[in-house]
Amino acid sequence: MNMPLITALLFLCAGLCALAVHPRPCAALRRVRPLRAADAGLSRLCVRLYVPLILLIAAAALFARLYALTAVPAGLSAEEALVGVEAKALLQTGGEAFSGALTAQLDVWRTSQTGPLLSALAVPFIALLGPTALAVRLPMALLHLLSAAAFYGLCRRVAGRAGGLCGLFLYALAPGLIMQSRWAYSAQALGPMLVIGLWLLAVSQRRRALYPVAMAIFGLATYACDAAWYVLPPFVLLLTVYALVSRRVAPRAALPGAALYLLLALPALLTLAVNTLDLPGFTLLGVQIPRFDAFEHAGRGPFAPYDALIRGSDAFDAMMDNGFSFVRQTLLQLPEEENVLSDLFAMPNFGLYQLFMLPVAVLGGVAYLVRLARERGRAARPRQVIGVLAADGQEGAWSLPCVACALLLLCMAGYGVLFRGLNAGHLSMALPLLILLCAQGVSFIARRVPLGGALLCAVYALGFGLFLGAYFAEYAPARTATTHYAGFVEAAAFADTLDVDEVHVTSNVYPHENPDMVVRVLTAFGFDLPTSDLLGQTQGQTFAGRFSVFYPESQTIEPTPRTAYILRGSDAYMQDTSGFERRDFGDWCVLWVP
Amino acid sequence: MLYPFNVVFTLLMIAMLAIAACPPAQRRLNAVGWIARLGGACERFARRFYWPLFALILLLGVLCRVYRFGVLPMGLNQDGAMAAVDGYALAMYGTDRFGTSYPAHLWAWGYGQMSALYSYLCIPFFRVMGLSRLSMRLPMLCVSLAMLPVLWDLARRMRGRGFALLALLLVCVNPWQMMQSRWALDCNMMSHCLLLGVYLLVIGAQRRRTWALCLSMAPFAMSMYAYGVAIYSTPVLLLCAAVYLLCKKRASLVQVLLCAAIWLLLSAPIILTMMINYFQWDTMQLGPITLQLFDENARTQEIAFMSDDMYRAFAQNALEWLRVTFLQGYDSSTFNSVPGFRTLYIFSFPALIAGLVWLVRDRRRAALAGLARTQDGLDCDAGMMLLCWLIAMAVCGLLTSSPNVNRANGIYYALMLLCAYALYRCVRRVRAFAPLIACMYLLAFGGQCAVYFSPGYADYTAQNYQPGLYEAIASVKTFPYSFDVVYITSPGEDENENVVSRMIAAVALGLDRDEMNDEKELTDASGEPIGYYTDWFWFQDFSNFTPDPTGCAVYVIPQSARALFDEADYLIWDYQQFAVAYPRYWAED
Repeated sequence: MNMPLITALLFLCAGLCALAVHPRPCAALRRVRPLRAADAGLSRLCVRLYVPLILLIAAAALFARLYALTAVPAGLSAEEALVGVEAKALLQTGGEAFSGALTAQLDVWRTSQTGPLLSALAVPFIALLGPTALAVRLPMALLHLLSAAAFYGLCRRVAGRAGGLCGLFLYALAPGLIMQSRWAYSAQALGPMLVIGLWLLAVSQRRRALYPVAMAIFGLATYACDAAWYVLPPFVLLLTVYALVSRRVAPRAALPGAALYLLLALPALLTLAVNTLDLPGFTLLGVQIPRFDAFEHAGRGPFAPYDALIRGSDAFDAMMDNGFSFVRQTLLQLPEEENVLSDLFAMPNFGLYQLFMLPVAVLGGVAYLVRLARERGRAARPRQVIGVLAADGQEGAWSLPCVACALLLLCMAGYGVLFRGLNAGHLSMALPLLILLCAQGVSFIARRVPLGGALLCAVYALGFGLFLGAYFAEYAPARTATTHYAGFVEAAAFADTLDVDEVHVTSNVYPHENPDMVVRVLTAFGFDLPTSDLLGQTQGQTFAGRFSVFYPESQTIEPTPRTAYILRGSDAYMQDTSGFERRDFGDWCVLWVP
Repeated sequence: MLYPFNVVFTLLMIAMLAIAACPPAQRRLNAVGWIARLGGACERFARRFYWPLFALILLLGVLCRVYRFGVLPMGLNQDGAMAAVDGYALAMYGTDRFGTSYPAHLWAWGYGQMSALYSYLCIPFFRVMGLSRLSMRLPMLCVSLAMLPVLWDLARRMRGRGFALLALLLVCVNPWQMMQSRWALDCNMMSHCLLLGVYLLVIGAQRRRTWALCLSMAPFAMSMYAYGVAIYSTPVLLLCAAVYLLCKKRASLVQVLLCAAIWLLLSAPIILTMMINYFQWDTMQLGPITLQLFDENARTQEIAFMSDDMYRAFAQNALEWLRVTFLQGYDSSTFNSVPGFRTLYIFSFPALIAGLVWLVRDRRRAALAGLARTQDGLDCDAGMMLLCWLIAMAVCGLLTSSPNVNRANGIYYALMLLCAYALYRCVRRVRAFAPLIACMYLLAFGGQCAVYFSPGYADYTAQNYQPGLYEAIASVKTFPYSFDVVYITSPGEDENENVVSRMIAAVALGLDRDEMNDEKELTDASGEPIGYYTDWFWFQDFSNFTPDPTGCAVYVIPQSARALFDEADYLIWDYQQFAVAYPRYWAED
């Protein structure tokens, strides 16, 4: 999608939004008979073809998420290899790969931490399929597909059948979510988990037994990434208070639900407390509460001094900078800075939920706020509105799922405002809620402007088509070659077939911050090393018996018999490779002396 | 030090706005005896002493703007100096400093040009007072002072006397209005033009007065000459207003067409100049008016439509614009606001947001109900004109890259009205809030004046005003010793490098176009010719300079170069960040 097209579509969406908020022009349009007839016909068609449409969207979602799953993005990132290695360790030892202990948060990279949730979810797939790219990526793809179904359920509960269809359409075809679902990064599991939790919360209005289940899902979601530690506890607290004060959930359900959340999230919350308050790590009922050497969020908090942000007056500016960064990376769909990592979360010119949908999302947010204000009277009489849909088929703005979504977004915004230096990974959790705003906006336009909703959906589908073309044809294979180390797994598999005693693996694994550990993790995954070989192997140049880290900037390769080197093409170019056999695998190559 | 004050005031502001939005809370608060009595007393006081209060607030506004006027800000800003030099040439010869007859847009810096309105406004002042820092700053002061009652009357027409008094208080104690009135930056004229235009438009719309509608086109057309961004923002305002006035039958088609013709006629030179430069046509003459083709035009690239990544440009512009307007955030320039206070005081930001929401909602409700005024007394037409103004400025913010306070200056009067709208609603709901609001703003104003008039602030703004350079150069005019040449500090000796120093020197020495261009000799106090400018004044980079203690020269140096001048060999006079040195050899001769 090129910039003039985006700009044209952006203005089209903005125009539709502006039209929708003016009752008189909308009424005038409705008086145009062909328009009114076409709108009514389309509505009837949607009702009649509801199930086929759902199936069509589901098919598109399945295709976009599962087609060539192992080939696009090409290669395997360090995070994905870690998921495989940790899942295998969980399966074999019931603990973490390098320490052997069951832990609330993985600290393999040292400079940043990783949530263990995705590794846990990958265990059955690793058990069934072995350590392959498919086994690593499938849990994320399936979780996202499950969340699409949950999102449909949530929208249907909140906004009726048409709202459900619209929500599913937007969610299933969102570029950012498709990209998230196609590679395994633990933080990206948080968004789908939250959607599932919110859906259960919506269902719990009729089946009260599901309220604690929703809380349990939120509790498990705390292990997706450390961002959840800051977002979910205040969210659950606010939600419980609201549920109790508004009497939408009986205390006998709300309090056990909150207790269950606390129980499940306790190790994660203790890890947060230990690392925030500088306490020593400890073990709680077999679960390790680690004290990290470098806690990722330690220097990002509101009380951590950072002079560069305090410009002119005080923390007011720092918070505004953080807030702008949050808005830029979520609502405006712009990466904080253009680099190889930002390419993993959104494609330029498509953004997270299509760049041109920005006005629709804003309209959705404003429409929701207006509904909140208008239905304030109804909020005072909660018993009369529980489970009752408003006249336009929408559930009240003060209903539990609606308020839960709003509170969740509020907590995310609070996290975004208070913490600096957050990147697309930290904020990926906000995407489902942004799509919810889009759905609200599309519904608003569809109700007011004849054919407005259909036009938006057509444009969105066009954007989806263009995205798929760009993603599969040119973008993912080319842009992610560096971050996903395309060719390494194949090179490792080949090296494993060679009869060699020593294998040296290059430390040139840019852009990762801890090359030594990346080499260990990639090697463990590529060579399918047994977990017992990895225990305690975090220091030194050699590991797991016959492997060692090769530093191309300071070392030279030696043509020693029964030795193999796995290098990047650029490393091999700088070295004297005479006397070696060589085989290339994408950006990687294997050099060996038979 | 300012942090706690801002936090407390912001929380207070949020609390007041929350109460104003919550009727049960208002009822409870007004039911408290002493609060009700205080509120009643305040209302009676404001009614009984309306005009004394009006005079007092206006006096406060005038006093803080004229106190040490011409001296503070210390030094001289290069943009102001450039406008003054061109204005002086226009006053003396009817051309800019290069000899171009009545240009619609000034060549100025070459790469970026400069709006011409301020230079033209300077003409009468220069004719009477000659070229000086005082005379070049006076037009801005006069216009700014004139806008205080204009804003009051606009507010009065919008929502009545009480609202107008509050708006007058806000504008009189407003940091941005006060600061911009004390120095000469050409682009700030745009905000005054827009205010005057909207004011006349509201008068015209309310009574269908053709004269007011037609007259309003003059300031709108002038705004096009005041700042480049008006080229794409003023038409948006006018278009929105025209559509509204036509749809609501507040103006007939003939009136609208007449207004459009007047505006087009008055704006034609600047519009044509822009077209000449966009389409690369040749320079044209329109009678004495010159419509120039410029060699370079850096400003075109600053429009989002010209950017390669338009979406990113729009998004970033929108955020930055919001930062410097509604959110009262950080601005890179030091001359538009005092740190910790910003353009409308940091604690006003919740009121600005609430004001916008309430204005849109109230006006919409009344308009849909077919009422001329809202329940709170807001005139729907005036409210719509204010919204058109805001929309136009938002478009301007979206299109202009890196919006800062200068580039967003057209919106600040509108923001003051929004702020007043929100605060007046608070006061109407709980009358006892009136003294609290007045105290908050007066305290903040006191704090901002204390900082602004302190010597430390001159250092803070040194980068923009070069404090001391103007004074140091001006001292040469009354220098007690004779000299053969004056060395004036400059980043380089090349003409492009020393342009800032040359402009400041021209104002400080009161040089006209021909004197600057060596076409006329300078004169001494008795009017006798004493030689040419370039014979007397040399621009020197002192970073690699070795002075001669026996040379009969005056040196205007930066403090950083003072080490070159040994006090044993030189008499030295300090002027803030600059100094004047003169050899003792000649002084004692």
